[in-house]
Amino acid sequence: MFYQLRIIPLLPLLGAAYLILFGRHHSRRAVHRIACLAVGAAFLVAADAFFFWFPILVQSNGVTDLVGTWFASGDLQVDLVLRMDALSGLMCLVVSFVGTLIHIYSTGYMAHDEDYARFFAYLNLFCGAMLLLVLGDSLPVMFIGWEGVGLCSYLLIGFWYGETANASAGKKAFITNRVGDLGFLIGMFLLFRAAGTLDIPLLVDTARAGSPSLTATLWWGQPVAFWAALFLFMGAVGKSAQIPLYVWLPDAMAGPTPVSALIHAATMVTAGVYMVARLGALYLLAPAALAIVAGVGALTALLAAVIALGQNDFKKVLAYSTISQLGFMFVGVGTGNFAGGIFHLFTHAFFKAGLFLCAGSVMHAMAGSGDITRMGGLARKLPWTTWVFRVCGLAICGVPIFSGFFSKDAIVAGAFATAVFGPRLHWVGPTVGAGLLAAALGTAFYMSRLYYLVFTGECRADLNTREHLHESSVEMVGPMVVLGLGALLAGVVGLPPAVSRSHGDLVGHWLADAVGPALEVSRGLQWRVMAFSTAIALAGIGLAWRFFGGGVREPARRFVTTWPHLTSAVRGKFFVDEIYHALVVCPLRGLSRAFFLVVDRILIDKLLVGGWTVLVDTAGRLLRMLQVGDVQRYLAIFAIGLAALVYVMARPAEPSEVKVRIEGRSARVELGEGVAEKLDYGFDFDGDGQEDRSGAAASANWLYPQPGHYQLRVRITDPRWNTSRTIERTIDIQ
Amino acid sequence: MPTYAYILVSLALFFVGTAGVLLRRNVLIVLMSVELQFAAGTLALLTFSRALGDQKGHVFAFFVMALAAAEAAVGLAIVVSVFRTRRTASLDEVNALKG
Repeated sequence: MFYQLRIIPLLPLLGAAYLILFGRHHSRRAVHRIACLAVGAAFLVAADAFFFWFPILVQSNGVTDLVGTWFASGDLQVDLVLRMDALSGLMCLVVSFVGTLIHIYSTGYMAHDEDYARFFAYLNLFCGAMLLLVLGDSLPVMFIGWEGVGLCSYLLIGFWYGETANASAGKKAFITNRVGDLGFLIGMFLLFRAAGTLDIPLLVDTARAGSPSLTATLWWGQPVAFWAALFLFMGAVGKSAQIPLYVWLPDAMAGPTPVSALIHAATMVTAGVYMVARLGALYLLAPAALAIVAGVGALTALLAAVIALGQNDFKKVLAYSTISQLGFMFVGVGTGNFAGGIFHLFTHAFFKAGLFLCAGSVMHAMAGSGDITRMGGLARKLPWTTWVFRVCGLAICGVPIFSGFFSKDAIVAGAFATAVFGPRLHWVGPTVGAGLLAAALGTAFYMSRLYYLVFTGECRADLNTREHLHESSVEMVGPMVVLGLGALLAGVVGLPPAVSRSHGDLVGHWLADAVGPALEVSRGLQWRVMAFSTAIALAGIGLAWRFFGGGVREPARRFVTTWPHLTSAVRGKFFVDEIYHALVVCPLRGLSRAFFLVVDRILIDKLLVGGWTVLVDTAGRLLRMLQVGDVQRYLAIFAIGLAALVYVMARPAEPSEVKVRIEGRSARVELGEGVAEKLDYGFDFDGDGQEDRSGAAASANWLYPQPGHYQLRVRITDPRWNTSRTIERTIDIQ
Repeated sequence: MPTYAYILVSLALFFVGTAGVLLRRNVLIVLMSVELQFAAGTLALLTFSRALGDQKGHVFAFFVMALAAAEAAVGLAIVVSVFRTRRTASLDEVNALKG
């Protein structure tokens, strides 16, 4: 069996194109059948390709599909080429599998939405773009996918564009991502200038060989690799919502919940991690860039985990949780533990998508509200949702045997064990590792808080909502259960070697060829980290029980009264949005306003547009004075014009050519054909005002006594009217 | 009499006619001035015809006279028509076509 890889992204893209063009004419059932079929078929093809080629994928550079040359310009040749190796194959499976599940979930969640076809068209478009991003084997191709998913994110965040808040959340996401994408572009330019190619395998080979083109110093004593890696990471920071560009992701929750699950949790936001892992060899050349990646990841993990503690919106908590988990992944790839980062990406896709689908199910039951202060005791009414939430929650908290436990520990242990930073930056690893453990405590706490406030205790909703509570339909529960199982079991592909000698760290082995050999972590460290993080997870859950078990308890209230400022700062998300607004948005808006007033209002409106109207208007006013309706004045003008015409016509015509030939010191002037007969000519060769030759001949010779610069003047007179014309030339005599 | 004397008379006649056309306000007098211009033209034609011994100028003079008669007929018809609608024969007051 032989597939071409291009089929995988093409299927959802075709589905999207069909639904956008003809979706409105189909029934809901036909629409979601087309959409689910397109992405489901993509999953089947991807799975078939992955398992069929599995031995090749894990032991070589994988298989490629060259569609053709996209464009070539000078030294730059960009091929539209797709590659499936272990890394992109795994991502492909995750994207298409979770994508399929969420398509199915959406048939239930969006069942009553008016824009059914548009929604599924965008979802399909997203899947196609994401698969292109993952499979693209050249940075520009990847960038197309990168921008494509950004576009879909924008379209789907603002899906319910009727409300301004949703539309502006979409804009915020798009604009924030633009900032990062600028970095991505600059990174690409730097790489092209240094390495002369944008093909990922060639770049990786160049980097692995330690080519001097990448290690040469560029700016401030840092090599090209550092700057390229840093700018590319800027793109990753935007797409994967890290400090300082994470602010768009919480707002992105304005979109429909399946979108939050698919795009803003499981797939698109992990693109940054994927990109760093893909170009891991480049990052390994620049330990300082890796340290920045790890540092930003750890800081983000910590900050977002803290902010999540104080949020009262179901999806906002999950959004900050996603930001925090993405921070974990960046620490993974930032400590050279690429397999660990990708492993966490893999498990996170399951449990975070599961959590978001639970959020959707809960909000569906709560008539669209996500306010957890109005929930409580939902476990009895939504048993399936509760069980899935428990499994996924335990996975993200890092309780043993659940998938998140293994992937999180792989990252933390890797951070302590890594040696990529070299002697000068060796402190980075343990520091970010400790930061992650603190973030893990926060994770366990906020996730348990969410669970206790939503599912345990008494229901705090109003009577109407309470009576309306119901478990979701089977097409919503089904995907949730599948994701829950994934959250439970996905860890088996990355068991720590300390636990399973024969099947330890399968992911690391699979990815070894794509991202480099897995990090060596000693058994003792593995056990210590596992024990410690288990303790932390249980401590977080226990602490949350003390504070929020069965509703907000006394210790939580006491905490708020003891630390009022801290609480309000956390609830206010440390006012980062407000700070950005004051520091970035307001100055920009002021600048735009100034430009608007000066350039638009004054320069364009007043001077350019208004100026022309004034000119035309004035000309019209002046000219209408001539148009008085008095025939005699017209006649007078006519007479004057006629007289002028006669005068002009009476002058001798310009000769067709004036030839001046110079030989040595003698000059000859010849006037061309076409002049009227019987004209009188006068030639003044030396510019003294005296005519040197005159008569009826149209040519004349002259011998200059000495070299120099002379003014030649020829007079032509028509003796009948006594009108004349003068021609002047300058000549040089050597 | 030499040719230039006839031409001078013709020129004078033409300028008198032109002045009349441009300056007088009464439509009838303007029409009469136009006739003077015609007469000046005809005189020049005849003068050159005789001076050059060519009969074409004579023939042309007849054409001009016929044309002048036709012009006078049309012109007077217009004058009568304008007078009927506007009750005036003064060019000052016939100025509806203005910007």
